Amino acid sequence: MSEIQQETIDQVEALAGKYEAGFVTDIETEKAPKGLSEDIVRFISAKKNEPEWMLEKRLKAYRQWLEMPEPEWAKLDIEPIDYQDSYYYAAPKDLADGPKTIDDVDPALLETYEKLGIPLREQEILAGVQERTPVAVDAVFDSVSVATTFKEKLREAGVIFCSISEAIQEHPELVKKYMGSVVPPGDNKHACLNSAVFTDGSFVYIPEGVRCPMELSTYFRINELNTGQFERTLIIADKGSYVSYLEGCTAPMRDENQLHAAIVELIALDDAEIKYSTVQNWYPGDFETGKGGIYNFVTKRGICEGRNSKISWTQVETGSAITWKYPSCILKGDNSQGEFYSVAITNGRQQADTGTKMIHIGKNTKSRIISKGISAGKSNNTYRGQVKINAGAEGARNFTVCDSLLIGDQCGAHTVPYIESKNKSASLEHEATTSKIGEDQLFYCMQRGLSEEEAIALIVNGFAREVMQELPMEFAVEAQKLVGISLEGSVG
Amino acid sequence: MPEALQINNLPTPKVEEWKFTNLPRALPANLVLADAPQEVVIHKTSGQIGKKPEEIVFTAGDNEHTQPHLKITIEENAELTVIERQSGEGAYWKNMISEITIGQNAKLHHIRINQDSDDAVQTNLVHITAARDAVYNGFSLNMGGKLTRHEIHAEIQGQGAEVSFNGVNLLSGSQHGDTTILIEHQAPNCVSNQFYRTLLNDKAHGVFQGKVHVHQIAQKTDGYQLSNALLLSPDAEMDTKPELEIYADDVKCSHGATTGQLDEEPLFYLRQRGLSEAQARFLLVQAFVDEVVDKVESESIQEEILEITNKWLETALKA
Amino acid sequence: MITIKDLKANVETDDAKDGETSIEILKGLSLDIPEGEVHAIMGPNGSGKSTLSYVLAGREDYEVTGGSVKLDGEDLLELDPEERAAAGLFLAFQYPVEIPGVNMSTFLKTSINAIRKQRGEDELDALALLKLMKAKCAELGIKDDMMKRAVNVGFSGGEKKRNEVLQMAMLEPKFCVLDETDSGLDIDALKVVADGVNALRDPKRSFLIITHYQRLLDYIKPDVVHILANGQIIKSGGPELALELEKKGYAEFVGEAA
Repeated sequence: MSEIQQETIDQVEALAGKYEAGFVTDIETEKAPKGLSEDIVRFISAKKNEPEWMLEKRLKAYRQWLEMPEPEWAKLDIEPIDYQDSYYYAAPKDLADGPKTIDDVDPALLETYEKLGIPLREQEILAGVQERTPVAVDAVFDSVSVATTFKEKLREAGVIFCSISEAIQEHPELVKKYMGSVVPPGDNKHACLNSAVFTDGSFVYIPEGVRCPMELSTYFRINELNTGQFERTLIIADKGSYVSYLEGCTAPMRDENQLHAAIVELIALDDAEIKYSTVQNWYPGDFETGKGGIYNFVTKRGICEGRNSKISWTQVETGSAITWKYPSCILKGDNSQGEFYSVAITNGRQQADTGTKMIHIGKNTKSRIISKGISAGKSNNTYRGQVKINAGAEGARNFTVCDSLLIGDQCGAHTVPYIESKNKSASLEHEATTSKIGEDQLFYCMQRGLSEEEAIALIVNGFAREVMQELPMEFAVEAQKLVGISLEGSVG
Repeated sequence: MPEALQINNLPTPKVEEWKFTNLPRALPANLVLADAPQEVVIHKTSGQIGKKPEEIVFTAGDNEHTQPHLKITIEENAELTVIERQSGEGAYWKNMISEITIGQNAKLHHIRINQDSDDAVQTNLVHITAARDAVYNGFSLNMGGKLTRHEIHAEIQGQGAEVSFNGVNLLSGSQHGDTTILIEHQAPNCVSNQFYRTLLNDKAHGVFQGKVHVHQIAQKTDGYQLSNALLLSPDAEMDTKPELEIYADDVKCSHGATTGQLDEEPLFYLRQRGLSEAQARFLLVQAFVDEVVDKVESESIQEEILEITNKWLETALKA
Repeated sequence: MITIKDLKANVETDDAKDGETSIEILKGLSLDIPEGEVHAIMGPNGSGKSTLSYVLAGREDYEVTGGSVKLDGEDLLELDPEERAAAGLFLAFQYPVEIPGVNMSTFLKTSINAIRKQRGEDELDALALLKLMKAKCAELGIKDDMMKRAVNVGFSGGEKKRNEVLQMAMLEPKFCVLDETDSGLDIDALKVVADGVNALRDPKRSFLIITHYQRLLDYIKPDVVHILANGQIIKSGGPELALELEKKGYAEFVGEAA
């Protein structure tokens, strides 16, 4: 019990509402016509003033998408998706022509982000939170980037941080070289859809030898009804550089399912390190009926291209009706390292099938997987992971731990690891456990005055501690609160 | 009720459960298809305790397609040890099903020694049901055949039952050995154990897939699963998929899987005590195998198995 | 008996970052232990005590970069670990390794005969070994049933250390290194282990006792005490040095040397 801090208890006790991010911003929006066709793809490309080569890439992906089957191997029960019943482009009217300066942004939007705890005015950030180091934010609202903060300050360090739309215009050589190099359009149907209709997202380039002077982050918000969000993130860490990047996501409560199909690609060159953290809190759907909620189909993959490079994924997944997500590392450079730290919580009628792939190609490559799954309500939570050691990966090492916790007897917890080794000198260790929340722990906490729900939140935070402590400070507090909120209603 | 594989409808690696095993490619080209299954029945009636082990041998000849159907029924309070031996000559396909029913408080020790010929293919689908307080203690030594698939489905239907699956796979040349186990916990307070160790030499390919499925009703289940593999050659390959699917909250389930080489620490300890590196390796690999063989209850059978495994180890570790 | 001259050694590190794959631990250590003497090495954490024992026994993760180690004139550094064992070096491990599946009697039989064979002696048959084992167990107050258990598996801290002493008794080495044998032992267990070691003291046998605390030296009286700090012997003296050290603490001595 000593590990549980008073601070955590206070935070958990302070919780009231259920899905706090469930409000809608009333703002005039420009949308593409409903449905998906070549014309829509052209519409999006035209809206973004894209060069011809980009449009060609999109159309090629769209044609491929038409032919591809839905991935069916995950342990998910998904109603057939009507791709024509969704909008593929929605942007606040005054931003339809691309991001301007912060002063041109509709106050309703700024207010939205403030309500979510993400101030976008730099001077406010600097004035308001002296004790914290400022974080640079790219705020994506439905299909467009609303604002990117601290761009100038970052530019001084040589760091490029902008929306992907801007990168296509301003840095075509980098985008051409790297976009699709880690996740090709044909990787899977969801990635292929993204490659055809992606609307915005973030682009990061850290030049050789630069340690990014501040945390970078993107905050994704879906607002419009029946609108899908298809963002695309590309991060390139050049030789010897370092960057820590965070991502957060929320959406209003709606009765309809909404589609979110994203791609994140990371490239780490020699001696570079990328730390990528996610706190995913999309609307999970109605607690009782499961109605509505986001379909979160995300393809995240990084390549450790260079020697001694490192990519570390940390995720706290609490939202979405359906989560289908496997942040992965291709360990190509010798001595490169991949890490995956995950907490996935499902409650109500949520379904999650999430995990990672570690593909060892280079010599002496190392990977580490720590996964903590918590199932409550009538939800199902699956860890699915692959560790593959290629024949040339001399001396490769993998260590995997996946623990599952069940709260109540109406939910399911599943573990599906694939462990494949073709190298004699490689060593792989995998451990997994499944158990229920300890009654003695619950009793102990309740004897000290906590309600059952508070006690559960506390214990679950302890269970997930190994992962939580990988999060940057600012996010860790947020994430701990979220654990409590997402487990509400799990007992009783 | 299990059904044997049909020649005209063979699974391919596209089927998730057959992901790592390509059966159609391994089958002999000139098979003479069998007309009918050969049935072997072993039956112990209520309360009967078998004093001596029942031994059964399944053999086959070149180009043969045999369809053995083994039925073992142990009625309540009965007990028996069955030793199943697999052998043969030439290229053949032994397409077997085993149906095992263990009654209330009954006990079966099932030892399977597979020494099929080098060119043989064996598919063996085992279906086990265990009633209340029943015990199944299985041990499988797999070292024969070009390709074997030992697939076990166990249904634990009564409270207090305990099933164990232990096995040693010793594969060399271009042998392919696949063990796939599915345990269905359909009743509370039951225990299941899986403990497999695999040694791979030359270009051998080992597969271990084990799944523990705990149904919602099966509270207080204990399910353990452990697969350890040692790769003795640079061209060997091991694929492991240990799976848990759990719908009851008051359970203790865990699995562990390791693939790799011997640990350096014990090797050094033994060498400090004067053993040569080769000697130390041999001793440790032998211990790796012995720990599973130790799960066989009868000492005389243990000895027989160790004699076979030691011979294999001597050849495999000579280089 | 054993002569260590200007020994330098590196240990490999896991963290390959920054291009550094090894760190120098022993930085020119010299030591001479004549036949029949018991020497103790004391030193603070990180001074290189365990590295010294592993380097002497020939563990692969340690790279000797300079100096020499001779046992009765024979160059130990040229030998494999098992050849060093046959030459008469015995290391009592700080953390005796658990070896599941290998029972004690098999282990001892294999070990004794491996050493005898390397020394050109006849192998002992099963009966002779059993007798020897029983006799040594009785001498050391170890229950025979330990022989049926797997090597160190499920042994208590005391049992593990007693097992090391039993092996020492059976293998009859010339030179014994005891690496923090007192760690994790209560007073009673410590006495049993010390009695075992004392019984093995012999004019033809030397000991190097590596320890953190003076306590063990109350029971095994050393002839010479050395202080190891930062990879070098910084001071040597009689048993009184250990007492002095206990009183003053390491900091003072380390300070003196610096």
